[in-house]
Amino acid sequence: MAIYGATLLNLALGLAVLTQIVLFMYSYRLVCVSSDRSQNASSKEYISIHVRRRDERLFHVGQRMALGVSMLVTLAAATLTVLLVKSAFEVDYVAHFTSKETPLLYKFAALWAGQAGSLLFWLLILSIYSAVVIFQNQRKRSDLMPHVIVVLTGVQLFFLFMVNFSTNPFTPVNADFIPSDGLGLNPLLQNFAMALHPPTLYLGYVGFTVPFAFAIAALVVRRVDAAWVRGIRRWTLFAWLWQSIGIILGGWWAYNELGWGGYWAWDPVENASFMPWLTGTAFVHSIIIQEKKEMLKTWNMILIISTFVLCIFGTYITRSGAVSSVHAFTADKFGQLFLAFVLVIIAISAYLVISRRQVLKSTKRMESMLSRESGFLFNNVIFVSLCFAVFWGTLFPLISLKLMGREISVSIPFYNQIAIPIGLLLLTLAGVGPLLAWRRTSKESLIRNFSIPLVIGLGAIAVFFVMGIKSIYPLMTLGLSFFVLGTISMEFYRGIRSRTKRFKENPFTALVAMTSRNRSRYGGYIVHLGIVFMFIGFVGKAFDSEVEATMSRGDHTELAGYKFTLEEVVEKERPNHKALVAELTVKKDNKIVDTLNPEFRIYFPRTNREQQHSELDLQTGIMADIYTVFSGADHTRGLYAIKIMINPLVWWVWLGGYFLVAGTIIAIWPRKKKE
Amino acid sequence: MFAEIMILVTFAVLVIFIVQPLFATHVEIHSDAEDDEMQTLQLRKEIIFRQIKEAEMEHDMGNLSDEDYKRTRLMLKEEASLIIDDIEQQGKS
Repeated sequence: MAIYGATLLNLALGLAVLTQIVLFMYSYRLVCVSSDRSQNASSKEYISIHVRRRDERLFHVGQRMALGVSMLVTLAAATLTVLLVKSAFEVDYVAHFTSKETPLLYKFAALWAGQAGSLLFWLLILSIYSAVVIFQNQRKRSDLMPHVIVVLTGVQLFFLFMVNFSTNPFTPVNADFIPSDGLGLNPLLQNFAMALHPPTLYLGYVGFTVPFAFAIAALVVRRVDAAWVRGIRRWTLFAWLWQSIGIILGGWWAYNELGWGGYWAWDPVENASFMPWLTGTAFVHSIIIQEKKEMLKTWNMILIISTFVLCIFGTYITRSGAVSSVHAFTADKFGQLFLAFVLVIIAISAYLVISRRQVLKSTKRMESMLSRESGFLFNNVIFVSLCFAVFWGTLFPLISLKLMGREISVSIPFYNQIAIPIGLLLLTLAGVGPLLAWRRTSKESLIRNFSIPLVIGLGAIAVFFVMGIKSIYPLMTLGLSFFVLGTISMEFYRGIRSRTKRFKENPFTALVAMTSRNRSRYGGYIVHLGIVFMFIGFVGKAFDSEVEATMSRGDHTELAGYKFTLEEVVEKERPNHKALVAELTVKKDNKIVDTLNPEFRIYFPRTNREQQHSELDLQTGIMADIYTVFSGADHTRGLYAIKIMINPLVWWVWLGGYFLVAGTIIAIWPRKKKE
Repeated sequence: MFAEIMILVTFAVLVIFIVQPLFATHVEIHSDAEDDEMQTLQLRKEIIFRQIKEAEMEHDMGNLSDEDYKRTRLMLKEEASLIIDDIEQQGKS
């Protein structure tokens, strides 16, 4: 089976090269239909034969070759999955990331747990996307499609090269014998969210290849009008949605599994996923201006190219070992190949953008600073600035090490110092932008649209100040959040009121009708609502509290008005680990609120691979989470280290995530075609 | 042996699938540059019409003042008439 998988990858590589050659020949008319063949054609076709008509059969062959590459990659990924499930330890990758005890779900997840498998998984997603793009566009956009397929298979080619010559997942074990058992999956990865986090993130990362491919194709054929933007709008939102889900799931996993009580640590690998998300978000906004106003053509090209480059660069950061991170794969000499690939993409894209600068020129100008266009532009500048700051913070340790030989780490305060004020500006724009009119907003409109939300925002600041929140950033965040809530609520209210008056609908029907007729608009508002909830959740971070205590059975400790008693510690034997399970009762005002059971686990006990792991337990609440971690144990002496945290408002971050997903799905959902 | 047979079968299926268009008797001709230009103009027209509708909706909702609405509508209508002229000219040629 391993030989079969390896051969499929070889075949896919060869076929990808052939696809490039065939489509190149087609695009540049190196093979044309013979004049005999068109003698019987209509007069229009007859004339065009003199300008060397392309042989369409060649294009169809090229298309099928690209589909063939996708098919081979899919078969290869399926083969590796079968090997993982069957515990075929004669394959090095299988022996490294699974063991006999690994649960079935995590045997599937092992496909993306290691370097070689995750590259193949990346390739699999790209192959599925490529096949969907080809099927979707079989009968339209034919001038762009050959170039789109060339770009898609070009990216596939790079990854195929990597899995064939750098880290082949079908390599046999480097020994004369077949191991009786594998090493097993890292315990930290044996978590449901972690099983889903990489695929969702990859769906986003890889998804941006599609708009990138259309952008490059549009540049090649010099058709950079609204048509290509409209064609990729849904794909961009789709990729953005998965990238967002991936980031949120990563945060959720960190919060529920790592035991430090946070969901975001500005780790280089987290930053690697955040940077393309930032430029992607800017792109999602700015393509609206290109579609409606035919402006920002160059800017949009730069944004989508940057987003794709950052996706590949993020992969480089994760795989090269260039930066130290809890997430990073082990150092790999082939990380340099990723860097080379990034440089090639930048060089080709830069050439295309510069050589097409005439067609990219916008014919229209901004009429006023108080317009929706300028709001979008300002939002773009802020997103890109934040991206640049994160980029600098992520790479600075590497630059410092290479140029000055000094190891410098850029920590959380640096990022917070920059990200908090920029985030507040973005939050403000989320409220202001939608209320500005296209082209120019009159003073009258400004006063009418902003007075009520402004009063709500200022009122919220006053109330929270009286409630005891004196720090400037939390106070501003809450005030702005309420201001944006006000603007969004007003938009919904006015929309419903207008429809109930005009069409005599009841409010619910009006809400459904206006949302389904203006999906991008109201879907966008729901996404903004999600962002507001997330910011409310971020405020909670300023009020975290924690205590760490060494406890024996019957001991208690107190935090934020809660009393925690360690009632019992029970030892349990499970298939691939043994666990000490604490029974911790939580009381408030002498009433039991909950009983939490954090665990201290030892994986692969009594072997040389013994690994300790704390499985936390928490009670989630709208106002605060009670978060407990069993961080250490001296079981023979009956002493146990328990960390307890009260994390306010975290629930709102996840709620915001649900809104973000729901809003984006509404915005993506296709409209019914009119008869 | 099983792997070798699988490889051969996969290869054969792939080759048949890929070369099949070479034996097709009818080949579709894709749109030329003029059609593309027409499509672009139609799309522009559609976008402008949609913007006029949106402006109307904003005005109904009370987000756009009368002054803003009249100005926006006038500009969009002018833009739309220019595009319609272009479409007509393209149609004639």
